[in-house]
Amino acid sequence: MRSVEWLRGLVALGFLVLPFSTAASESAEPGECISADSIEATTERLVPTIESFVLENGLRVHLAPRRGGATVSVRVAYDVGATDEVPGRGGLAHFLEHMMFKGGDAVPDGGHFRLVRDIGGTTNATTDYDLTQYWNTVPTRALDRVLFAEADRMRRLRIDETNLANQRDAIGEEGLGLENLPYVDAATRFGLDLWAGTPYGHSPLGTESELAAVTREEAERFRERFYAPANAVLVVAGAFDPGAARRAIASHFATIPAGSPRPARPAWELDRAPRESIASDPLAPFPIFAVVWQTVGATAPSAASVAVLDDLLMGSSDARFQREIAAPLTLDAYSVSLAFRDIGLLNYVFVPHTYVGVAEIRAAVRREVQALRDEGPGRAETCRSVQRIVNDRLTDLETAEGVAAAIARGALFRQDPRVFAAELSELARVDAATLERAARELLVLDFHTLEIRPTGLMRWLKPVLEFLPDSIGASLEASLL
Amino acid sequence: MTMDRKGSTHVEGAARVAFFLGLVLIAASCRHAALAQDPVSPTPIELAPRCLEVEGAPPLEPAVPDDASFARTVPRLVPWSLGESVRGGFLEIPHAAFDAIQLGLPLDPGDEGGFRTKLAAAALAEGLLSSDPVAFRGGLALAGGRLSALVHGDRLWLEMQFPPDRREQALARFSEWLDPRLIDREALARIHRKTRLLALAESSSPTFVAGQAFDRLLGVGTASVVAAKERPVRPEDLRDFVLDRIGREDSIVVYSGHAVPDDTPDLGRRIGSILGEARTRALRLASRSAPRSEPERRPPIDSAPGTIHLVDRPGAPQVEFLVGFSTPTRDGATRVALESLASLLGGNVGGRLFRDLRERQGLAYIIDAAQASTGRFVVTTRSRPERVAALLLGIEAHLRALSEIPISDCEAEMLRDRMLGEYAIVLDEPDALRALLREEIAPRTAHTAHAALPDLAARLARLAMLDVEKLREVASRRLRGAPTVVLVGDADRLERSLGEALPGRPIRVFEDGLDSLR
Repeated sequence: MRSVEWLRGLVALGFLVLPFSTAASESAEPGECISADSIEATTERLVPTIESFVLENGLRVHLAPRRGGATVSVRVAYDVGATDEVPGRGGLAHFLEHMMFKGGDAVPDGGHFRLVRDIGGTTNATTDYDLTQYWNTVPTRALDRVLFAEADRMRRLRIDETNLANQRDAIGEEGLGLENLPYVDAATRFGLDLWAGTPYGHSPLGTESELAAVTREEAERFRERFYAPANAVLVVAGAFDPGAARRAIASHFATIPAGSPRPARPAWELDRAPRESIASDPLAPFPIFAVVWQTVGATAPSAASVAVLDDLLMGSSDARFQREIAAPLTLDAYSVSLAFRDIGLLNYVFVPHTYVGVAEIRAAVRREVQALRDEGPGRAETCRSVQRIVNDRLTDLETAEGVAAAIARGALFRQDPRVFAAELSELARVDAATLERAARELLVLDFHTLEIRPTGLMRWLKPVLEFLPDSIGASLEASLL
Repeated sequence: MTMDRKGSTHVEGAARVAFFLGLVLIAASCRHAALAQDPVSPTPIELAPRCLEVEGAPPLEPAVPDDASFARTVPRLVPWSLGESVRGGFLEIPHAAFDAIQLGLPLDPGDEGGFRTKLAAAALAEGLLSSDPVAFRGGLALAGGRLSALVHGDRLWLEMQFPPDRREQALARFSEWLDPRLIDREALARIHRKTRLLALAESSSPTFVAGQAFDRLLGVGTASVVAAKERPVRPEDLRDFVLDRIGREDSIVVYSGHAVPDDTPDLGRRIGSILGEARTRALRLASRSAPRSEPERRPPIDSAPGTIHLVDRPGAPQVEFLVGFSTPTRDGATRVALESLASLLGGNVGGRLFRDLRERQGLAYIIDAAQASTGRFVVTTRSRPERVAALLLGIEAHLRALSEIPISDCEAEMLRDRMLGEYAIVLDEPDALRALLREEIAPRTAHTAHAALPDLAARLARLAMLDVEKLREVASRRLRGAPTVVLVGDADRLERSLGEALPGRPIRVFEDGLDSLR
């Protein structure tokens, strides 16, 4: 179902990524971890061509046909997100996303879902801070129909009081599902505090009172301001005839009024002062300790280095934090790092052993970070992480939906639909020296921390176990697990 | 345990954190005051429009064209002759970035939910059963490869992916992977702990609890329960467990890549040789045969028709629903019909339940239906406690409608289109296709001595032949009567509110959660 992706990243407590060590390709150039030629060959095979054009109304179109298969993915990405919301009026972008499924000019309420699902396709949408995206993957024979449906809701939306109330309820249920989980509330407040004073400093879901205050007029104004062809990118990827697609796009989209250009994004400053936060959570069965660094956004030149650094620290059981901190000191540990257009975090969550205190984990993190800053990473571990990231990105390009997503993101973030290929090349060029520089710049020793403590018996029992010899806590854990 | 790609963490994972200290005094049980409720009458359900017509929408080409192009959309699966004890073949996946080997080792009935199986998967996924795990992972690194090990159906699946140009290096690592040794004790302790935590977290998930309760009530499947304390697994036990499975007959292996290589027969022989050597080695090395046991089959739990079974989860702010029928079948056409009916009802966002109970009545956020391969047809959803009665009545009304009101011709046609379309998408997506393989490789039963490679084209043909008479027949015969109802939530609160909202309806409370059902 539709979801707010940022919340997943911020609060998820997934499980440890299992190891996946890599090393230099034998055919790579000296200094390269992977052969750039090899990456390029795979990328060309998966995305052989992208044809781009702009309609008169400003809609940017990118067509990525490929041979084989019988399905196609259609994605419309609007350059609007939670960062475009006025302070105190959070949740509107996400609200609009829900409204986009409530009927357009010709398609009735709920009709978009049925149009796509009736032919066996999948459809979904997501709102984050920067973008609102709608995607549909369908059998190729339904391409014209899906383009019709996307144009229909771009042209007009049925925003009435009944639909507003209904979706207000649905969003409320969506939020309740998250509130039902331990750690979410505390982690959310902490994350928003880190970004306070910036356009990223509020929840894209909106608060209950903000949602209650949304009016039909306000929703209409927001839609007129941001849901215009000139503010959107349309991508079609998969098995289809480009000529037929061009004709269908012209037929369905060309008559939609251009609308106004989106407003410029205001400048803002991030307060990087370190924060140390302690929160209590009655739903939490066990304490957790998170360490966080502010990094860079996805469009920054050093974004590739940061992605590799993240993997180097926590991406496998051979990663530094895993090996030196997680294995000896914790029950579990994992990365919840994020990168939006103009902002990013490296974020690691540790679930300490019963007999291990937060101070010990904090000290271990400082020690490892200092070592990385002083000595830099080794070539083998650098290449392992580069290989993992590259493999993940190539896997994303296996599906038509993944290709469409990569193109849309590149088109909106960097005005280049094929930037994913350049980004892969950038990744392949990341070496130990680059990582050392990134570590020195970003992995400051005054990092942010969040400790979430349970209430009840565990709150008092843990300090006792930390005080007692480790063997007692270890035996207790072993006997119970 | 599947190697997870970074970035696929989920909010639901928050619920998996260790419930430590079997004291597990998890959170204060915040017992809410039961909501006083008036008796609830069912809101008439809305089925119309049965099929969507949108003015101005472009027409669709037929889902099943007359020419052979339709069949060509099915990826080629080239079978190999690998000997008596293993079946296999090459699957061509045009848009695969990587080659992959999927090896399905047979498990005993009841093994699939077992702790030892999960532990073995965890160890294998990290290469911890190699003679030198660090060197093994380093070698795998040179091959650009990645591992996963997971349990699906009645098999333990070992899967390795790697770039096509590193095949020889990958095959060497694959051979090494099938030569399990004694695991380092510290590593065993670590994955034991992690696996135990995962199992505890899973067992606390309301979705899991509802599924287990449902199966137990119907006496189907073998309940996968987490023991209060697992018997320690020694390094020898783990090694022998894996050796035993490698040594069994009836393994299945599928090699997939973006194009069928010229040397496919040689590749097949090479794979067969690796597996043959592994099996011979396993039979020689296993210190004892692992006992083969049949899990205890327990009879269904008797309840009056229409009973609401409440599985207690104190303080839960939401109620998890699982409502449905036991629908085991070995007939392919019936299975496809049940899957189609589940799609009509659920269909993710396209089904009757979503349209009526969520969009029109606002009773739930997520609601779906499914025909599981384990043989149950169920509706799943969750909601606030105050909406439980209305939502339950709505679900039951839709189930009745499905069995009593004939499906229309246009709905049948739509379902056929939908099933064919879904299948086309799966065939086009490498990970989904590999998952389909795991699903489709036929479980060994009393009627089949050996599992078989899936016939992807046959499934396509079966979907294309789906017709309205079969759908009506299966709906009226298999989905009639009172469904089994399982609700997981704060039983104290629910019992009172449901008693008031649905007077006269039998309610049965399991106060100790799943423990009450064992």
